[in-house]
Amino acid sequence: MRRVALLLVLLLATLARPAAAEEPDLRVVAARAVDGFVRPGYRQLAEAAELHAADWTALCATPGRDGIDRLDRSFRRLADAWARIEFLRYGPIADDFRAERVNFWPDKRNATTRGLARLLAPEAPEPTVETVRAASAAVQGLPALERLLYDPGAVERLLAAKPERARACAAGRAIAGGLASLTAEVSAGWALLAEAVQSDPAVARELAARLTTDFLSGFQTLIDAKLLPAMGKTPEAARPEALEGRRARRVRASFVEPLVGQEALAKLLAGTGPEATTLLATLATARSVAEGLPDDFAESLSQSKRRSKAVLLLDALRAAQDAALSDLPPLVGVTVGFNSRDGD
Amino acid sequence: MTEIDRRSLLVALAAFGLGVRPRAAAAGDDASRWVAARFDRGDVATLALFDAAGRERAATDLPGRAHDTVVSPDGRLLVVVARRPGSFALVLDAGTLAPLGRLTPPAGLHFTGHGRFSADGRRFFTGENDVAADQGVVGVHDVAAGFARIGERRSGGTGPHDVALSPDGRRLIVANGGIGTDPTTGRDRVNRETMRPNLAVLDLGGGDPIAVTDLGPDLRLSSIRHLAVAADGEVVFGCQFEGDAADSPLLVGSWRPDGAAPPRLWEMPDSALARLADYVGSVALDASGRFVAASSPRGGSVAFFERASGRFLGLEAMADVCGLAAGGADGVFLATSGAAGVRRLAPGRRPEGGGFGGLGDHVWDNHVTRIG
Repeated sequence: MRRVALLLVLLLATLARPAAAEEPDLRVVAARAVDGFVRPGYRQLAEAAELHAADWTALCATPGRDGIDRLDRSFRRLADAWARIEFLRYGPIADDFRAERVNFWPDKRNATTRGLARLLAPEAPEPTVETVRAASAAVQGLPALERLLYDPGAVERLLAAKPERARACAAGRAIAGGLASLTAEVSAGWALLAEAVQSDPAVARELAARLTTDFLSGFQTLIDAKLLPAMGKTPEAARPEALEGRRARRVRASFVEPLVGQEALAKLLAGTGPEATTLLATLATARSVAEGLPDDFAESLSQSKRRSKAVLLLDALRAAQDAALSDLPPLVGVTVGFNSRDGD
Repeated sequence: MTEIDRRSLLVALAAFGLGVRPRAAAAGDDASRWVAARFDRGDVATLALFDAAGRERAATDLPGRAHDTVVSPDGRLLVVVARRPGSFALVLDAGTLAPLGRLTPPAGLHFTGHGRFSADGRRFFTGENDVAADQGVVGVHDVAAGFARIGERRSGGTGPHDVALSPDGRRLIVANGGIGTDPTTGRDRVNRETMRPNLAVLDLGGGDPIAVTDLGPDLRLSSIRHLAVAADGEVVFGCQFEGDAADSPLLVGSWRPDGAAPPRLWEMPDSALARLADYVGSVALDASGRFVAASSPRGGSVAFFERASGRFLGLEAMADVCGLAAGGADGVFLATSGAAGVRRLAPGRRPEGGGFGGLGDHVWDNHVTRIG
């Protein structure tokens, strides 16, 4: 009897092996990344958005310096939560232009300022979640909230006993309310997708490839969209106004937080074994260089003696990008950017 | 149910085997076949023929990575062209993929990845690069003589890529991408200062190009690379932008070679244009010719347009998507990807006959072609 059982076990093991060698690895990797990074990331984003919306409602009801301070704190928490997962473009965030609605940036045609002016015009109806949803994506997210809170004169406007106060407050409340619903939908959408990842090898494979691609694209955003346009080729050509988060003075966080997110995801995708050492070390270096950026980083870009910080960051980002491009796809076990990187 | 709920639900249902199954019964789909090159792990290059139910009907090994596949007017022959810098094109039986012959470019020339049969099926034209002269060429081959090379023409520009035939069969339209070729690699050598892409029309009777148009000096960094020609002669094109990311121009448009009007680019909302990441990898018409799809592997998105108005109809996300062809039914497209297999896509809806499960195990190369 024992021999039969043993044979049966051996037979089952043999039968199971080919399947085990093909798919479950990617399913495991994808599930680990989803449960350990993607879903917690969107959950934190939704919580931060809900808190920020509540702070706007409170300020509209009872204007005061305390309310402004609370909004400042919850805005930073919300913007940081987004920045840590901003490079993800797969799943529910890709539907209905949600990513653009959360953070319409870079804003090449100054659509946020123009859209916000329309929303705040005295003749326009008082902003509601519905009117904001019907307006341009540029006024539905973080860049619009940042202007309402940090533009010159913004705080005074939110505290003044004038009609502009009610309108600006209503705009903030509506935008933050819309963001709270949007981020809650994304978080809920991932619950369904996570089940599919567990059960469908095809979904797991696409997810693993897509997370890896999104991870790699994150460097492009940091280098090509965030850093280089602001640096310019020379100190004279620097454009500090092109930096993200300049109004809220969270430029440093706009570099640090995505790298914090990428580091966390890299550990889940690539593991922490010796073969991931270079990747994780270059990522840690890039993060620590970003953490060391001075408070007046924007101003330093125009000063030839102080631009070295930006150059150092650029080098660190490129080193991490190179390591990720060469090491990550084989560590995950996916082919990425087959069509997207190769050209035709 | 919102769009996202419905979509997520479909994904989840499909995962449990309860979702929409590939249905051969989808109108007009039964006899359709598609063919596309793939490049799987271990650098295995193959060409595969599959049907509307996602079943692989035939596959054959290729000498290296291929790009586009062209079907003869009678539907009996296929020519699969190597990826740039291409050194081969294989002639195959369209039913079995049995190899029938091989084309090799003359010394100093490379295939660009695309080709086209003449309307009567007697000639085969290849897009080519004269690497030393950095000059575009169209190679002419005699099909009956075993695809023997019988001549060549100037393509009317630098860096030709896609080649298309006018509906009356009398003219070739060439997308001269304007990008130079690096003689050491045979790949791109982006010449921003001098880049001047164009669309050139060649009369098959011979002579210089009978029409050459471009997108104007402001858009000379928009490399025109892919083409689809409608039954009424309108040329739809897709571009890749080589300029600064901050300038992101429109990427898809149309042109009537017989008219006086310059090409027009189709408007898109900024947020949608951003999803194309300055790069269109393929354009296709649906079976009715009313709708156009444009893929961006870099943006992981497919954009849809109504051809008559140029109106933007929406986007679908698909990782690393590039290949596009008409699906079986009107308004439906077939899309292939290096990371997400093969799917049917349609503007604003989820088409019947959903996925192509098993085909997702492969890394699909740039283009897919519908046969019959």
